Amino acid sequence: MYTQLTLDLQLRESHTFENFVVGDNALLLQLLQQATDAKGEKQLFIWGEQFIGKSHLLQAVCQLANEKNFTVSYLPFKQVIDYTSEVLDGLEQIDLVCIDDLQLVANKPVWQEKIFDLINRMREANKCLLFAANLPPNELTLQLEDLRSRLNWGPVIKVNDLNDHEKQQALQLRARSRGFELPDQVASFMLNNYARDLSGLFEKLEALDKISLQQQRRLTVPFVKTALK
Amino acid sequence: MSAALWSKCLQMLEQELSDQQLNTWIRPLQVVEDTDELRLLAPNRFVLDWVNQNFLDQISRITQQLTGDNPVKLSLEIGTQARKKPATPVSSIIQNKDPASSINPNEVRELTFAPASRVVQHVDHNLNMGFTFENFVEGKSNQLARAASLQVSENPGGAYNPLFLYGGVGLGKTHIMHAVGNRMRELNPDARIVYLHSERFVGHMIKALQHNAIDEFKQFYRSLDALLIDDIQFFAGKERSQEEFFHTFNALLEGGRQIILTCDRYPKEIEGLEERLKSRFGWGLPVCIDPPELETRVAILHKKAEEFGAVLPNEVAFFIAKRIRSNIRELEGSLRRVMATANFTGKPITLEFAKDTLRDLIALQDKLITIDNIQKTVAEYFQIRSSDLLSNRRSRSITRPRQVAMALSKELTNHSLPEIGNAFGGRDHTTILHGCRKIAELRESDSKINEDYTNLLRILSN
Repeated sequence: MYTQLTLDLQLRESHTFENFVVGDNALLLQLLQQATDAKGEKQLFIWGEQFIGKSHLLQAVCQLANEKNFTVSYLPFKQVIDYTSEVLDGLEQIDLVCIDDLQLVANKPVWQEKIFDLINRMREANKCLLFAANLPPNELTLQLEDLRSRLNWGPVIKVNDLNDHEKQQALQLRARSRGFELPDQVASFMLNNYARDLSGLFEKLEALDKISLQQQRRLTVPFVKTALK
Repeated sequence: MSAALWSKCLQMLEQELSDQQLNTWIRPLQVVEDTDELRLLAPNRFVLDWVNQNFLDQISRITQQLTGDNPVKLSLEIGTQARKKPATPVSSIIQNKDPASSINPNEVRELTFAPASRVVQHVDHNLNMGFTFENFVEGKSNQLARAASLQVSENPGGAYNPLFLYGGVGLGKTHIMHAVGNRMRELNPDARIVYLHSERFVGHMIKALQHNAIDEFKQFYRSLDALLIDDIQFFAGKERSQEEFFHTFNALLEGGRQIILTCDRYPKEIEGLEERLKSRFGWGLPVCIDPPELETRVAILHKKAEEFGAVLPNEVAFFIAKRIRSNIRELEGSLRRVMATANFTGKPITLEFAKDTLRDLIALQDKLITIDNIQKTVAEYFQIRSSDLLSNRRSRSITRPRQVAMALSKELTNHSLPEIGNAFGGRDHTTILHGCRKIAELRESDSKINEDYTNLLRILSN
């Protein structure tokens, strides 16, 4: 027997502030939302564990800036770091630049120098520059101290983890954005039985989505139990 | 063609592409719309290539759909909107430049270094007006550097030439350098002063070489009254730039013009720098800027707070200054964060408030919180043995602390309930859940338990 393959067509996930469970991050959200305002902080550094929502937040700032007709550039280093650091050239023309997964510049002196230069250029042009990484500047593996010092220039803010109740909300929001409903019992079962970091939970959610589509089953606790074994 | 073609096109692209594709590749594009032309401008070659390979067909198809019988010419190039006519000789751009428009470093970068006679009043000095002697906080660590710089700004081209400021990162070298430039312009508004980072100098030179404009490049730099180059250590290993800079340096010095350089170390210690440059850097006055001592750090914080329009209590300034010792940028970043939080919460900036706000910066304690650690702390707090927590003993004096430790483990770590159960002598996850609920209830009804719990929370996260 063949398992029926699902069509690999993803629903558009919408990365907006409305779709983000705030939890203990109200200040951070406000600073991000004000980044493109005249009086906002022009440089911010946000950090936190994987899957805690950093990329989502950076993209939400991009959406917001785009609605205000600003030019924006979102640079996920996971995607671009294997290419040339030329991708950082000329960015000071852009109103808002967001760099994601900055920790990937560890042991890459050329990139470190280019980012250092980018910070200088963005400051001179009075444009917005936001960073996200899994660690704060002082904990990153950087060979260029000049860069570390400049990363600390603006507020450095941690993205706080959600509590269980908020995680449940986040799971359900994410399920909805992928086009299915996650019943309360199933969500709380997941939180009570598996590791409770969002990354693991989101992975499980994705797996559940696939399996339930393949097997044409509704999401119930017994189904989840066997599916995630 | 209506000016809205691109925005219509964007609306359609938004249906077809993911947020990330849009934010990474499409939204950085600047657009110039003409009656029969749609020009997309990419910030650099990489974005250009990527858009070209992955999205251009799509964009082209959409614009065709939108324009029907009146097709527009679609083009994609590297550039920026500020440069309206790319073909215009740059010297005239400089002269025509609207003085009200903001500095566009990219435009500066595209200069073809027009001969000096044609650009007399129009050098982009790049100085940041925010850095002055007035808002520079003087302390023991920078006294000499400040005095020498003031001297240079009032008597450029004199004895201290080149002025070589060196010291670690984030200690104020750039601030002093801008302050000198600003003061010079104050005293002599016609002075041709250029501040730039060493990387920008290298960039200019490479561009000049590519465009066969090296003579203009030379003329441009050698026509200045003062040349301020930041972070000269980035010249290391770049031989051609060093060569070019060496000649510029000599020409300026012979002409009695002022040179100011900053570096993160003493001239002799710069690896990858030609000996002749090292020795010349030492000709004038190398002055060191040391890390600011506590009192200076406190004064800097007060000054910055004042600039932001806030008053910082002295004890808060001391608290931050004691913990952040290494550099001034970090000091500023922390201050900004405390003030943003105060603005947000509407709370006054007190010592407690600052401690709470900077908690995660000052001690990255998160990593230290393990179940093991929680058990030890709880056992110590209730004066029982850690092993009691894992045992099957059921006396109240043991079960309560055990449940407290379970609840704390759930709150402070990301372990699954079965894992927590395991760590408590192999208990079932429902037992953990029960323990957590029990503590939640008791914290409502029993103030003693609530107090114990909050105390432990504080101990563990401080």
